[in-house]
Amino acid sequence: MTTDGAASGVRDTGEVLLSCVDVGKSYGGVRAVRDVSLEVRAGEIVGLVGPNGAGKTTLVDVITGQQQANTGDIRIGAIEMTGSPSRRARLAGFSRTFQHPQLALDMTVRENILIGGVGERFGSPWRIFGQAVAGAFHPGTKALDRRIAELANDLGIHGLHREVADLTLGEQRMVEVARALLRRPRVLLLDEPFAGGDPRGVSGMTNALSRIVEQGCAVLVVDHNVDIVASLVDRLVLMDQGAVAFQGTPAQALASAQMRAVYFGGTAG
Amino acid sequence: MTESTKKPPIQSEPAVPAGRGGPAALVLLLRRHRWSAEVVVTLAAAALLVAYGSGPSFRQDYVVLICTYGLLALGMYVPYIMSGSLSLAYNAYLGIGAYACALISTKAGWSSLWGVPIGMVLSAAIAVLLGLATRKLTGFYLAGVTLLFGVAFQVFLLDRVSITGGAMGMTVARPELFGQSIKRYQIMVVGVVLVWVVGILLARLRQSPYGVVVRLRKDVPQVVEASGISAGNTGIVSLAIGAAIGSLGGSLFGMMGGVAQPESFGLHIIFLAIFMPLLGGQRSPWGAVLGALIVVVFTFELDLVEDTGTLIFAIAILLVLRLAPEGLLGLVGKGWQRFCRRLGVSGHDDRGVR
Repeated sequence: MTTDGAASGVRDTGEVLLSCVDVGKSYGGVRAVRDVSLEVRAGEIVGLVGPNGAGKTTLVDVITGQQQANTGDIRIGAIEMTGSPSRRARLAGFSRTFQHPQLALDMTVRENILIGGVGERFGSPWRIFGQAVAGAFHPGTKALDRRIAELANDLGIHGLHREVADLTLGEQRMVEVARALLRRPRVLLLDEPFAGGDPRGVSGMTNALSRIVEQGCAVLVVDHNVDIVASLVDRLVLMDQGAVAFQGTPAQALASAQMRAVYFGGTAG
Repeated sequence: MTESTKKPPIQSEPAVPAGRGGPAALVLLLRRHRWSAEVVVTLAAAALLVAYGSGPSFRQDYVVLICTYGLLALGMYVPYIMSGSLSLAYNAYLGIGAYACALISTKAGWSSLWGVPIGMVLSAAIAVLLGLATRKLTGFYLAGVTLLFGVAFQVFLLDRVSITGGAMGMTVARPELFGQSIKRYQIMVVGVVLVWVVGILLARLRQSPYGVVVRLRKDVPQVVEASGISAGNTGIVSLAIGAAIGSLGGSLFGMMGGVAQPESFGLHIIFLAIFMPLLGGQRSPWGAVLGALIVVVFTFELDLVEDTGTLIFAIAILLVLRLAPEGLLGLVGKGWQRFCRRLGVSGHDDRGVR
């Protein structure tokens, strides 16, 4: 069951930046994602919640191209998402974080963030080669370093030249978020950004997200911590057993029978 | 200036701890001018090598051998240590560099110096083809295919007598520049300068966006892809760069010896070369050069150990991997950090911009 539109108090203005229509993904006989349809508009934060195994991360992987959907249509703006993850990210201008932080532990915080801001420079093999030649003579990262310092300041990340191995899990997640934000994405997908974080980190991330949606970015936050996500988003999408069980404002979602059924057992009726 | 447009405070240099002015101030100075310090120290080491080679003639051969292995190790550093792509065709790239100089001088009658860029481009092109062939396979297959190519290359050198001179090899004419023949001593100096320049450029490359991307590719390729960068293409470019540097080493070796022979480009070179950066240190290209120096000393020079040099080298590798997994320069780096901590200052450059 879903609710939508003005009647439910959900935002229905602004350009649809991310749309999934009847997206499905199966592994053999197991249907991990079943006919999921959802939209995220410019300047909107949508929370995708559900218990472990609900299919949230599979859906994000399908959107980003880490895995290929079996059915359905995914678009970022007007662009249909096909091809490799790098091609999708380049064409559509989206960024993501990962459920388990994907960071090079023996590299510095700065280096792990920096890659988020250089994707445009590496668009083709020739440009990659050009970057290698140019990099040997002039690193050309002054402007990027300034932006990294700004982001680190906003997110409360200290010690840009520390190794990532020295950080807590919460700090590592913030580094991932900083990397994703450095691209100035049109669509941002955050997979479990609050797991392992402390209250200061949650507050820093909330502030950063508020700022980025003001600039017209669409944000999809995937997490199983319903309380934190509900306090942050404009709309909640509840997933259960691979399908969308409910969509609506956080207040509607928290009061819904579907939410109670999914998290506390019992029936949705 | 509004709040939102204010530039964030870049962490400033910490004050020198009270009572420890001298050494701590020196540490801060070195940290601040780390790049200049690296240039000066490596330049001094290069000058020492040239000074050593100024003696008897055999020393010049010895220094050129160090430089050849140094370039080989630097060539492997980019794809293997930075990017995580283990190519085992470096004996072929060395051979291509040497044979390009031989063929261009004996068959075309040009200065053998023309063989240097030709060998580099040819090696890079072959590395790209091998990389493309194994693009969708995991690291083991790249190693396997390149190893096969290395073996096939040596067989080709032995069998195609009309082109390569077979087991006897080919003469590499003494290179000429502006009509003047370049002397052996001068080749040695050029070799040392080449290693220094390539080392400096790779040290800069490592810190550049390209260097950061290829190093992340090694550990988290999905992040590289998610950032809009093709991890596969990045790896192939690193293979091409490494092959070109390896070929440069082969050209130097051929011009110094005056001959290009198949036996000089066997697989034994690869198995030594793999361990050079591991022994010297992975966090800097200078680790690869240090590893090459140690390899040459142990396997070619030390009278003391002579026949057992390779065995001692193998034991040294095991010890280093066990006791200092980051290599000898890594050990020095750790010691430096400890020294800095004792002085009460961070050994890292904590400024946001460098």
